[in-house]
Amino acid sequence: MSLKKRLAEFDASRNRTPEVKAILRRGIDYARNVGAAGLSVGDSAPEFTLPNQRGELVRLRDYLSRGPVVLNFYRGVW
Amino acid sequence: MPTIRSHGADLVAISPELPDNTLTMAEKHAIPIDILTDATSEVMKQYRLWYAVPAVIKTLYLEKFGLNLEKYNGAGRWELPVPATYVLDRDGIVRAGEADPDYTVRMEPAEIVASIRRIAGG
Repeated sequence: MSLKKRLAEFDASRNRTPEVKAILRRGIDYARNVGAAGLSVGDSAPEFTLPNQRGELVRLRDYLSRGPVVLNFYRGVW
Repeated sequence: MPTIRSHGADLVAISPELPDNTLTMAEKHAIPIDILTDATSEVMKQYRLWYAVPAVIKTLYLEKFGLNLEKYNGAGRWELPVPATYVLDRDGIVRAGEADPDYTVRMEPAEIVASIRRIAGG
């Protein structure tokens, strides 16, 4: 099953009230209109140095020296 | 995830959240991906994914969901990225991926694997 289908089923299983759904929709609509379009295919990914979960500073170029990288930006675990 | 790694690709996740202090160091070592904290929001901005949560939505999250982003991100940080996934080749060029404000829409794992295979194949 595709991830899309699984996520849709999970979302439906949460039985949210119309009020909650409306608030979530509002948040999504806001984010859609802030002009944060991200990178496009063909763009060069900006270099960075950030701490990982063990407190070690890591650089994008160090990952790239080992192979391709799947970079995921997420909002949080909440 | 094992398929992605078997093709020599690293999985790296970035969020504005401060590190999870509920995990032991052993647990942190057991996580098969790197989870990075963008505590200054600089990287989210460089990738053009950053936005500040507006006051009206902040109030709704706080009052209706009891969700206080400052608890996760640090004081004053009502800031988020538009969720996004990018597959980078070894030169750091985006070969696939996209940002989608609807966090229930994610890049299909099969697409990620297909892109990595194309990169690995030259």
